[in-house]
Amino acid sequence: MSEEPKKVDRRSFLYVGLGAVALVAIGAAAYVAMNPPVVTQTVTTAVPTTSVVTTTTATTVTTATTKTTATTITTTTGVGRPKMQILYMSTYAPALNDWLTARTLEWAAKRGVDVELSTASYMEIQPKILTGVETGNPPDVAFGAGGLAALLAEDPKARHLAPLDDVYKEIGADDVIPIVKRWYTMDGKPYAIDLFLFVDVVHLIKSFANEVGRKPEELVTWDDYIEFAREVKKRHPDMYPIGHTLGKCFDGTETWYQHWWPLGGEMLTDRKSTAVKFDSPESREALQRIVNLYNEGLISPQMLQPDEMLNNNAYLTKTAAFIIEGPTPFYAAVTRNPALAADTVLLPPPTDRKGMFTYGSKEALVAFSESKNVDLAKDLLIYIFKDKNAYYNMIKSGFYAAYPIFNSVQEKLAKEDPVWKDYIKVQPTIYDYTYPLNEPCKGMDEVSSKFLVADLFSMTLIDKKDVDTAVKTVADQIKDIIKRTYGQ
Amino acid sequence: MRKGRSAFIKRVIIYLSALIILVWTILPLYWMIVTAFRPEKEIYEGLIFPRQFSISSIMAIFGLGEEHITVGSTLTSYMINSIYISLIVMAISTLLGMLGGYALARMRFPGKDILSSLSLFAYVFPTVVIMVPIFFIFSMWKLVNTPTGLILALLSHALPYTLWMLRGFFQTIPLDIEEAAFIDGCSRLKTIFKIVFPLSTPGIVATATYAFILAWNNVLFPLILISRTDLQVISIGILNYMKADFVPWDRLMAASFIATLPPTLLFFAIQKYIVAGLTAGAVKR
Amino acid sequence: MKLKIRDALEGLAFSTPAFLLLFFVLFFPFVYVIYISFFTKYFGYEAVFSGLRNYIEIAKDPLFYYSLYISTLYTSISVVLKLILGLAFAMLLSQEFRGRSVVRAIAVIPWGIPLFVVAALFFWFFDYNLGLANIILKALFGVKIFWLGPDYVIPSIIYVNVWKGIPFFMVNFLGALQTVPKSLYEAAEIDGANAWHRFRYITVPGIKYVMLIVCLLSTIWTFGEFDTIFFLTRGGPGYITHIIPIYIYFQAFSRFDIGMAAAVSVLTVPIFLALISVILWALRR
Repeated sequence: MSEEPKKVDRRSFLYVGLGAVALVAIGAAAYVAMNPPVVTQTVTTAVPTTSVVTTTTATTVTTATTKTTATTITTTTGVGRPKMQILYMSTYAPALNDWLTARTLEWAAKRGVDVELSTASYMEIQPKILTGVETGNPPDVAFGAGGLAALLAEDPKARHLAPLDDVYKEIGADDVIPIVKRWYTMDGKPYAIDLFLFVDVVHLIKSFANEVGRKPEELVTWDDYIEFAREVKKRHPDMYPIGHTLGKCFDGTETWYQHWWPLGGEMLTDRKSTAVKFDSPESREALQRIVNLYNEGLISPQMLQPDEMLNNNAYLTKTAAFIIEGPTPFYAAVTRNPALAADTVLLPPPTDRKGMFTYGSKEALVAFSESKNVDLAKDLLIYIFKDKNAYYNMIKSGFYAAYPIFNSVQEKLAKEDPVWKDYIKVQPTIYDYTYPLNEPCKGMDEVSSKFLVADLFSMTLIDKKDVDTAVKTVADQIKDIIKRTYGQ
Repeated sequence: MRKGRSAFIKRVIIYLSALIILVWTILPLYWMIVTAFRPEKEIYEGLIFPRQFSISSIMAIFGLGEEHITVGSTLTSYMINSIYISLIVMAISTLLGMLGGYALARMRFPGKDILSSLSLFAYVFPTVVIMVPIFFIFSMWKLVNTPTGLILALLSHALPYTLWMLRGFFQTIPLDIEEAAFIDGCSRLKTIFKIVFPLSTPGIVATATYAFILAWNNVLFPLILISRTDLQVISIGILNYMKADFVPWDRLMAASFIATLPPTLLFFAIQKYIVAGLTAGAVKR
Repeated sequence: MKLKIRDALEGLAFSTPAFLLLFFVLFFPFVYVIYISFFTKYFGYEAVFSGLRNYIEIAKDPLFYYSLYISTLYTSISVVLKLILGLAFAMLLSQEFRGRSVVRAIAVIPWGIPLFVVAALFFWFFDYNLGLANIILKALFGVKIFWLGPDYVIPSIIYVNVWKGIPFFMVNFLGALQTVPKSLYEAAEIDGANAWHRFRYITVPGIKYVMLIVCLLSTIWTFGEFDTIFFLTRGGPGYITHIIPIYIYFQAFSRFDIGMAAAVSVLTVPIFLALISVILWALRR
């Protein structure tokens, strides 16, 4: 018994000590959680000041060197200032995001606004925005809502976005390329604005072309490209020359459009389930062709994974001879693997019997009508776009990845750089997933965000269903969504 | 002679099996550590054995290296968030677990058996079932994207564990000691706080540590409740690395290594108590 | 009488904080999910009461049946493998040999590693171009395979689950094996029983109880596991690894059909309840 009290005393001392530590820890942590302290946020970002020249003609190849200067932006948060929640998608070209962030913080410092900046990846941005709207808690401004503009604003009774006609006016509505205005105008007003577009082009690795004795300029139609792929495969039996993503993600759907549109495939001509033209011979033809390419060993089985970076990586590791993507992989090559960038040529997308079509990925900024800071949001948007010189610098920092939305900027770039000159020419062929409707369509936003067309690949290549069934199944699903959305 | 030979064979089999177990376990871990401590270029050469030792990846993920990282993708804020949120969850779940656990172990009150079964039930049930309603309810109560919301959600996972484990530990304190104290004149409350709790300190510390680990490791709740990067914890931070452009393998492994150090080390410290708590605590009736 | 009331009040006072919290974050959501499952709610539209519509939709959805199938397949194979290998590891480690404690310590490591780290780890390990798995495969057999591609993804995820889960089985079996009296083995050996007989008639019955509990717990936890598969495959390629928790997640956060997600959650409850009641029944014995 005389031992026990000693043990108890030591133990209880230890216990009390631990308890005190724990309490202090909780207290401090809780305090931090409930009271965000006054924070000075310093962001040092690289803003390019020297122009990039990467000419990729057959004769001379010079690779880019950018000189960047760091600008330090200091913002101080505190009580009593307006607070904004901003959600930006992170693209695969960090320089573009840096520019956007820097510009936003610059604006916030000038206006005396506290900004809570969150980022989300490609895969998360749409669910995050939709969740925010669903729970009545949307951010004030979001970037990456291009594919949701119609979903969020088409129906006047359920309109969550603020109209941006005044913003367009301030930055020069006539200078904005027509397709952007067409994509976002509902009831006569635009509800979103693209920061830039990611326009699909072919990234061709020249050394493979040279190996099989082909000149890149000779590759024009899909037949050309497929033949080329077969020749590469003969020389490299282990390789999967065509870097097509087939998984349930954005890139997977783009693969579909790259084959389907030039063959004459059409989605819908009007907002009615009867106007959905998906169930067509062209759809079967396109799907059969892709299935054949896969079975021939020209597309890697790994591409069935739902992963946006698969085709990027195939290009960057040279395990594909070409990919078709908005030039963010090229950007990655320039910054990480200049030798590969020098070995790359960017070409317009393959054509087929109906001509040339290219997928334009919308990268839009929106302001939410439920926000308490709509005017500030619009002010921010104006600030982002108004200075065309700053905008021009951003485009340059992206090494062709970002496609400008201003005619004036396009002209300027075309004058300096032959690659841009050719790139601009592709503009009339840019479409989105509503083609041929080419108007905001809530139902199609839903179809696109669910990656329904990518199911065609898993149905035929994994579940081994036949092309007919796959096309019919997806066509019915699309019709159902359109019917449910518009009632007809 | 025969006996000698079969014993020898037995020895060989044992050591061979031990070797297999070692290789089986270590192979993936070896790969993680090697990748985390290699210069980035070496990874693309595909060699099994490293040539150079480098901590550039570890520096990079904390934003200390030379490489430029996009704003918001350094690990520091993720780690800090994980630390303080796990600490709070640990504290609350242990405190409430101590009180509730003792009540379930030693006190007599109406509804005790129901609550005991409920806590066992809660402990065993996978959280995936309440994923949807938690999201729905928390959005209604405006708890989405708040530390409070995340902490509450994590408690739904941690508290059943602490209740059950502490109940088990308290049951191992012999009734005689409590009764002796009672006879000596201690009130009920005094007995609990001055004798039972101090005696169970190892068990309490182990339970608290386990609660910390549970909160740290959780993926589901941060995934569905938090979208703001400044509030995000490290479990989802690693996921962001995997879904970023061009998976930076060296940084992913460096981040994984750092993220795994706290829970793994803590786990080993309290290992024997966990085993006691999880199953034996139930066995000892 | 007074004492009894005082006891009851004490007990309730101690247990209320914990259970009140649990009520809000666990029990209430658990019941609320049933309520939600009777509503239809698409994105942008108001929630509409629709009775059993969600359940009928699920009954018509082939993906639901597939998810059930693949969950069951994944869980059963994983648990069986963990059982066999866990027992084998434990039996090996209960033999005396030099370095035994080192091997034991290393073999337990996977248990301490958080699931999200395990997932990131194997995501890299299984990488087609640069992962260690293919490096070794290429060195030994001259081939590389798509570990996470349509042909091998199911064995791969089972491999990951087994790698992580063996220590749990092993450690519990180690404890259980020690409770089997050595004298029984010696007596049986004298009587002429060979190794297999000794295993079957002494070892197995001796640890039957622990075996049952551990298997059931693991079954419940594996069935409800979300983290690793979500990180590794997101349910892909296609829908191959679309286990039930992932099915629920995508219903709620990709298709934004909260009603359907709730309904599926509700449907998984009977499965877990059945497994849990077996555990509870086993515990009472």
